[in-house]
Amino acid sequence: MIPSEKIRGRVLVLKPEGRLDSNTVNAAETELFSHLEKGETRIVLDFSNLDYISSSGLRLVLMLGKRLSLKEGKLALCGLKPHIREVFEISGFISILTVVGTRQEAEAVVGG
Amino acid sequence: MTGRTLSLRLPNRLAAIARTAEEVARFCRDRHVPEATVGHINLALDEAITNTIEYAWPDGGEHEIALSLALGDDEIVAELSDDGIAFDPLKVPPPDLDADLESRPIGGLGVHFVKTLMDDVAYRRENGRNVLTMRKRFVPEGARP
Repeated sequence: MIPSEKIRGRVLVLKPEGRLDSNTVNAAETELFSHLEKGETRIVLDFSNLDYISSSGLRLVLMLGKRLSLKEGKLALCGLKPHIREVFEISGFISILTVVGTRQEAEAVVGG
Repeated sequence: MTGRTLSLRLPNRLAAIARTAEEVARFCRDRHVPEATVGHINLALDEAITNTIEYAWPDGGEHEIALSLALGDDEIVAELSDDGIAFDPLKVPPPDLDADLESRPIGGLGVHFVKTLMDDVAYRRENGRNVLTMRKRFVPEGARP
């Protein structure tokens, strides 16, 4: 289960833990998309408890971003550890997704 | 510090990748390989092994992937081999890193990571096996001025 929290009734903050890789991505995908099916359109991914991400995890983040963008929703990422930020940079995702430093910034971007 | 090589055999199951990463990290840390280098090697290995598990054996079944690591003074060489169908990951076209969110295709990233994170990557087909060799140079921990 990915810990989640609803902020001010409109922003859903998801805080995945541990590894987001080929072995864990299917379960994470099912969970993320069940939130979308329930109508969530403003999502923050708080990665401060995430230790590892591979291209499988990045693909999921990209899919989520695409789905939300189709629904005119918003996605922001925050709390990336330096080695995780590096993976986002290598993939080029850092420039097509909204990546900010703190949870407060992410909630402001998505909630506004 | 003991031997400078590590040989592992892992099953073609995705759950084996995290356990392999722990063993690789232990081997490297005991031998003063910098943390960032260990992270890069493990990510490249994960991407390569994931591709092998997902594509090498279309009929499924249980198979083994062999991993060997050889550590020099300032470089580490990882070799992965499997008896799956011939597949040269270096021929996978690179992803378009400049495409925007809507048009960015999903996929092609794993091989891009391997090429970007490693200093040298080579593929060969040998005796009915895929052999991928990845080389990464580093400045040994404690050797910095």
